[in-house]
Amino acid sequence: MNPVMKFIHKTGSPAYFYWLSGRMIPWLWAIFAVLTIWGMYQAFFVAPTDYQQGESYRIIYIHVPAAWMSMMIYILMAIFGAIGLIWRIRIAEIFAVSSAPIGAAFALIALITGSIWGKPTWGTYWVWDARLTSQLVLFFLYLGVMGLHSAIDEPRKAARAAALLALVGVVNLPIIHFSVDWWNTLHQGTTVKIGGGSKMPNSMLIPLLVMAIATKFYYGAALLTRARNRLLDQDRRRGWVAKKIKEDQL
Amino acid sequence: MNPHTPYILVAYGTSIFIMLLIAVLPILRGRKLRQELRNRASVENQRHQ
Repeated sequence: MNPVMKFIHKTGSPAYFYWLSGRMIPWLWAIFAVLTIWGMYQAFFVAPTDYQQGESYRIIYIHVPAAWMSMMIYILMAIFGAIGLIWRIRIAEIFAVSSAPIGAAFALIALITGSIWGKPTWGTYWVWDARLTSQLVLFFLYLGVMGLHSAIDEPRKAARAAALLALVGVVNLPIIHFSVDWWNTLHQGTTVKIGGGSKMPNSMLIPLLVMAIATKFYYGAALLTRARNRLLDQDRRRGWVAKKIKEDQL
Repeated sequence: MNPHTPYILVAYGTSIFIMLLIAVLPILRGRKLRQELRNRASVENQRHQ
């Protein structure tokens, strides 16, 4: 067996995953904290005031990373769901279901902060613009995945149903991303493109990228914490849990 | 005070609150679950003895 497959199989073992995630979580929180403090310092004390929007533009340092995360987590949730559906890997199912509340939180943050930014910039908290509406649909999709999962008692059946809904919802992601190009929207067009440069100066862009990386570590830590709980809850009568309790390593 | 400051404070305050909630709730739930499992194991242990 090649090393990658060996690692996947090893990580798929509940006892090993529980041990490994327990070691990783404090590090992920620590890196998140350091990056956030650094990113926020840069965002508030180093980045200059925008000549058009004034100080209100500083909301982007939470709004944009949250919006990016809401889409990235949805893609990951669908990928984990697909892995769970195809190969029946339980950890992947648990990851998919545990991702939903974190993604929903980021989608909500993007909606709220965008709306607050909209008032001084556009003069209104909300418009039924293509970008805003498709982001709201994404938030509802997360709620749908969570609701469907909690409506079914048997955990693995619930995970499969939620994974299917997550996969269907992927169709919304290109709509969110390209909405500013396909329709004439109030929301501004793409400012930062992967590999395509940026319309922002570096003093404004760097804190944004630092915050975007910080939120990845937040997701990692929150996901592993939730996945550990779910695994422990599902396996409470399994031998590995009894062994961990006996060895005082729970 | 800058007229945009209240908007910034509300935006960051709400975001921090939501992020804290999403981070802290599972940590508390995990602690409660582990305590519950340890208690159950110790009760079963006493019963066996």
